[in-house]
This record gives sequence, C-alpha cells and structure tokens, in this order.
Amino acid sequence: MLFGKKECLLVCSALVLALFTGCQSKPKETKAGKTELVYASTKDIRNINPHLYGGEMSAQNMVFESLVINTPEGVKPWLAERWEISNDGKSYTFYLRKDVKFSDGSPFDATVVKKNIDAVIDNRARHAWLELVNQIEGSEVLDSFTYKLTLKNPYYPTLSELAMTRPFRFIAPSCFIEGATKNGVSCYVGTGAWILSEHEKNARALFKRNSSYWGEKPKLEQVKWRVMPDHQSVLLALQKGEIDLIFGADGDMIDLNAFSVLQKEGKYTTLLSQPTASRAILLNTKQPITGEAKVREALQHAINKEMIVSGILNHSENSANTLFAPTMPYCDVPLSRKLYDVQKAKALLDEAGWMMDEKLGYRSKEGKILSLRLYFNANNAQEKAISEYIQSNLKEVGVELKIIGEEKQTFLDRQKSGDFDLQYALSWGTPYDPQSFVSSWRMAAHGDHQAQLGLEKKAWLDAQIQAILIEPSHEKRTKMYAEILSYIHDANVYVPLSYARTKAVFTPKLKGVSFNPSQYEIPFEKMFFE
Amino acid sequence: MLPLLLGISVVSFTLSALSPSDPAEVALRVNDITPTTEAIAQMREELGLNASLHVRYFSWLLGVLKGDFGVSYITKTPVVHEIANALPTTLLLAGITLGLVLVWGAFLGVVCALYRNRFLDRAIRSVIFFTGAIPSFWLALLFIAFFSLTLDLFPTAGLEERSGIILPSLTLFLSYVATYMRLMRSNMLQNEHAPYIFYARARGLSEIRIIKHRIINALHPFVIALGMSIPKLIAGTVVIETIFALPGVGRLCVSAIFSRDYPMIQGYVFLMALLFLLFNLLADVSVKLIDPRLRGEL
Repeated sequence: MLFGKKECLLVCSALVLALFTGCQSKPKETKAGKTELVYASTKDIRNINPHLYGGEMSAQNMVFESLVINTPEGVKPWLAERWEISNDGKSYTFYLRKDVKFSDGSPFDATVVKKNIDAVIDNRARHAWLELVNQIEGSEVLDSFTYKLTLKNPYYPTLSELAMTRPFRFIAPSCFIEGATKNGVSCYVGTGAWILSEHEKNARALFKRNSSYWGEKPKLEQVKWRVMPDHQSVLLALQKGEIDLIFGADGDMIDLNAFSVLQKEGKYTTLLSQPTASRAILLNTKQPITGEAKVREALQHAINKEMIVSGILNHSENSANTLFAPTMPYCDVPLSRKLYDVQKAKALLDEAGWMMDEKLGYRSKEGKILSLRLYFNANNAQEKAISEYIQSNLKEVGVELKIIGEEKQTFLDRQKSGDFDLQYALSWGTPYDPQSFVSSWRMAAHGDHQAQLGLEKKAWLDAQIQAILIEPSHEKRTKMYAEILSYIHDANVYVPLSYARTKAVFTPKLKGVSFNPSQYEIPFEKMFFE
Repeated sequence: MLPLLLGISVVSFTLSALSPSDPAEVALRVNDITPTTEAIAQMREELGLNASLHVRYFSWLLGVLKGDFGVSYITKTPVVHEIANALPTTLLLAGITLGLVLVWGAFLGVVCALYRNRFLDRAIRSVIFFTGAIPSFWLALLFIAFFSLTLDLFPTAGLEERSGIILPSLTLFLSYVATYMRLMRSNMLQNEHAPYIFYARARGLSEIRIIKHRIINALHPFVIALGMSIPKLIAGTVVIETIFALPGVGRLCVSAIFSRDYPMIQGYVFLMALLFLLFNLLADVSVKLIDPRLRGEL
C-alpha cells in the first residue's frame, strides 16, 4: 500500500482543515453605541413605488409620507398641519406644512400634492379596491400650501384612507415617468425619515437617516433590511447577533412556536401588539350543506376556539366571539356569545335532520354523509394545525371534515370561485377594518362575497355597505354598522377564532420598539440602541 | 437540437397557459391589488392576453430569438435582467461545489479503491453515505448551528462576508459527493484487473505509475458524469439558497412559481432546458475528445 492508516487520516484531516483556513468571520461588533439596526425580513423590499403595490409596505412607509396619519387616537395631521371639511362632507381642504422638503431638496407644496393625487387617479382601475379612489371628483391647488380634494359623496373614511401606506403617499415629481407613476418611477425620493441608499435585489436594502427631515430625526443612522427567506435561518441569525429585530404578523416572519420559545428563554425582548386583524373560518352559505342555517349554527358550537388559542396559538392571541374585535371602530356591538357546546351542536344537527350513523361514525341525511371541505394555505403551518384541530372537533359531533392545504395562489383562486364549504380567513386588520374590509364584501373576487351569496338578504347587505360608506352622520353609521354586523353574526357566516396580533422579537439593547395601527408598518424611526 | 429547442419552447409556453389561474388576475394579486373586474380587464389588455394562444406564442418566440423573454409580472423588469442578476450567485455556489466534488470526489474515490474493504474505505463510505442521506435543509441548519453559532467561524447567511459562501457550498458538496466518490471508486476497481494493468506490471512499471494510469482511466466517466450534473447544480440549489439567503436563480424560480409569474417561469424553464442540452452536447464531445478510440466517430 502507498500510505499507512495514520498517514491517510493525517492527510484527510489536513484537507478538511484547509477548507476552513482564513474563514474566521469578522469579530462581533459591540452593540453599545450601535447606530445601525439590522432587520430580517423573509421578503425583499422590491419596487417601493408608493402608487403601486409591488413593494413591501413597511419599506414604502419609511420613505414616503401622507397628508395625515392613523394613530390609536384617530387621524392626526402629518404633512398637512390641519384640514377643514365642508358642511356637506364632500370637500376637504388641507393646509400643508411649509417646512417639508423631499430628500433631494425639492419643495413639497400643493402642486406636488395635486400631481401625486392625479397620478393615483390616472390609474383608477388599479386602485378600485379602495373606495376613496372611486369617490374622488376633483383635485385643486388653492395656493402654494393649500390643497382641496372634492368627493362625489360624503365618503366618511376619507381621512383614514388618505393615511394608508398606499397609494396616497408623496413621491418627488422628478421621479415620475412621462408625468405618471403607473408604469413605474425613475427614483424613490420621498419626504420620509429614511432614504433608500442601496438595494441589492433579494439580498438587502440600506435605509439611511434623512438628515434634512422636517420632523423628529431618527436616533438610528441606518436600517439594514436583510432578506432571509427561511424562518429557521432568521432565528439562528438572531441568536448569533447578526440581526437585531424580527417583526411581523400572522406567522409570515416568525411562527408562534418559535415566538413562544423565545419568550420563555428570556434572552430577547418580545412584544405583542394590540389585536390588529381577525382570524376566522368562513362558512359558505351557497353550498348545499353549509347553506343550511342550523348546520352553520352547529359548527359555531362545535369548534373549541379556547383550545385553539391555548394549544396552537400559545395564548399569544385572544379568542374571538365576533368577527371584528369590539375595540375596532363601530364594532362594539352587543352580540350573542356562541360558546363551545358539543351537546348543543349535536342537538342542532339532529334538528336539521342530520342523524348519527353509528356504523359510519358520521351523520347522514337521505343517504348522504355530512361531509365538508376546509381549505387553507398549505404554506402556513399555523393554518394547518388549526385546520387539523377543527377536523377533530367536528368528528366529535359526527361531521366529516376533509382538510385540504393548497398552494397560496390556488387557495386564492378558490376564494374567487366560491368552490369551498369552509375556508380559512383573515381580515385586513387596522386601519382597513372594518370599512375597507367590509367594502370588499361587495366584490365577486373575494371569498367573503362568495360565502355570503346564499344569504337571503345579500342584496340588502351590499346596498347597506355602500350606504354606510357615504353616510355623513356618525350616529347613523354606528347604527347601520350594528345592523350589518348583527346580521352577519346571526347568519353564522364566520366562525371567529381569535384576534391576531403583530409580534416583535429583538435584542434587549434595542429600545423604542412599538407598533403602528397598521400591521404592515414598522416604526423604525422610534427605535434606538441603549 | 433545433427541433428539441422548439419543442421545449412550446411546452414551456403552453404549460403556463394550461394553468387554471388567470394570469391577469394573478398579476394583480401578486402586487396585492384586489382584482376588480375593471382592473382585470385593464391588466389583460396590458399583458396582451386578449390575443389567441398561438399569436401570443409566436410573439413570445420572436422575442426569445432576440433575447427578450418578456417582463416579470411582479418586478416589471425584463426576465433576462432578473435571471442575469441572480445567475452569478448561483454560478459561484455551483462552481465552488463542483470544484469540491471534483477534487474530493476523485480523491476519496481513489483512497477508497486503494484501501478497498479496509477500515479507511468503510469509514469514508459510511460517513459519506450518512451525509449524503441527510436532507440538505437539515444538514444546512446543523452546519449553521455548529460552524456559525458554536464555533463562530462563518456568518449564518448571506454573502456580505466572502466566507458566507463556504457553508452553502459545503452542504451542497456533501449531498453530491457520495455519488461521484462511489463512481470513482467503482471505476478504479473495474480498472484493477484490466489487461493494460497486467501489461504495465509485466513491463515492470512502479506501483505509483500504475495507479496514475488507473486514475486517469477512471476519471473519464467521472468527469463526464460531473459535467452532466452542472445544469442540475445550477437549477437545483433552491433549498440551499433559501436557507442561506442567497439571491440565486433557484429562489428566483421558486418564488416565480409560487406567485405564478409566468414570463419568469417560461424564461427559466427555457434557459435551463437550453443549459441541459448544451452540457449534454459538451459531454458527448468531451467523451470523444478524451477517449482516442471514439475519435473516429466525431
């Protein structure tokens, strides 16, 4: 033989070691006095044109600002220092701040506001989901710093929708392409606290502090947005100290198990926002079995949502009795509680004529088994676990539930077609709930619309929603909301499960972490290192 | 080759046309726009979806011939730019992995053959079999936990530091090396009793020179097999790219599939098919160049 055993082992070890020569990673930077925050996201920021929908909303929110902002206390002035609403509720006059400049030094004035609003209106079909876009009739510059918006009707959510992350945000007109933004923009110049200084597609983005920002300047010098598509890698990077913050809602950034483990470990700070959106199961009133009111009512009592909250969601969310949390505007409506009650569910199914077939182990009527299909997004582990638990709940009352996980786009296609008995649903969250979410019930492409089609008063429901949106009187609106929410609640179209919350996990030295009303925004400007 | 390419173009184009999702609606949804009837109509017009399938195919094919694979629904940038942006990362990963497989696969194969059925052979084969059998995503996470967290040798993910490429390459290398190491080993063993070895021994050549001859002969099928796996390496690195947050073509393609970005999928399928064809052809040519007995057929 050429070499002995020892020599071979030596050569092999030397070759393995050679692989790692010179690979020592950089020494860890101390966090004391740190001014760069590294945030990990599973998604790239993509195209952050504020008038389109291709980019990450939290990145758009860093660079571009709106006339007014949504706060927990209601709508507050921002780029507009005040506003006036005409008596008929159709005209809004905004008085703009005079000290605002875009990050390239160009002025922000009423002409710029008009150009931006016009650019949004120029692409009306794209924004038709947002009722305000359909309601705008005129846009006028009164003087350099006074702008007037005229509406067709006294549309009440106007200020709240103007404050949304998109599309009513302001980009420097020098970035427009041929006077418009609908086909893209040539740069991302905004008035916000941050400037996008570097972007390496699907890898990272760097936001630098806007040194000429009109408002309170962020304490951090820069935010590095690292794209890390795998949740496990994000957690490992956090443990190694390579990233400082994970922030997100509905398992898109961090799943609840990992969140709960980190919370127990105590090495990192964990925060939960107030309830932002509603998790529910949609019951399709247009399908033969779920079309029966008694069956829907039975399902309400058959699902043990308390166990879902404790066993699957690890108490990080509160169980829901109504579709919208009572803390949402117009949603504090006294509605009956539908508690988990197996006996009641069984009795209701008996009343509906679905009798237990002991041989099959399921209920049947006229030779047909009580079998339902629940669809969920297969990429979401949480939805899968919840669906499996519901399956076991329903088996207990003699209902066969087939749970089908589908790839996201197929799941969305199914919403549109209405080909489902039960479907996993999540509302849009604040500030879209309830008005924008309820408004979408009128559109055929939504699962909610499809599921409501079997309702006796669906036409009334749609008309009522339309009427609410343009009802100027707050009292009347409150009454009308109560009517539609009671109707939907009593008709058992939704089985509310819990109120979702935004989650944040971060290194203990990072301070000032908080939540905006919108779950899609991250207030980086308030964060700093101790 | 041309009819094959044409066939691939038809398949890659019509596959997406057979999908049940309406591309216009998908193009709206992927940008988080609620697909209202007007918005869908506007998008259909914009994407040219109102034309018949064959008209759309020929216009796409004409574009492909000019190097234009269309524009991504999501990013609104040309597909070619998107792929060209992502390709260097994947090529770097595939290149390093290929180099490691070439050197280590051959080396370990030779060592195993020389120590056939002895402790070293069995030990190497067991380790390689074990690492090859572990799913690459699991191996990747174990590597990050050990090399990155415990030993602090490498960053956990990304390419901001140059050493960030090592763990992904190592993971990929370990899932590939077993096949090539065993191929090299069996080639070496096959050559052990070949007539030319008897002849060499009869001529009184030293054992080292005989082993050199065996290695050279065993390398032919090894290199060809490795060459054929280059496109597979380029196309199949998605798991590694995802875990290590590398912005390569694998991730580009999978995210395109999930969001039904048809122009991107079509472009990717077509380019990958082209790569497979090209490397197949190169392998054929290199077989004939390496082996003098086949040159007459060239």
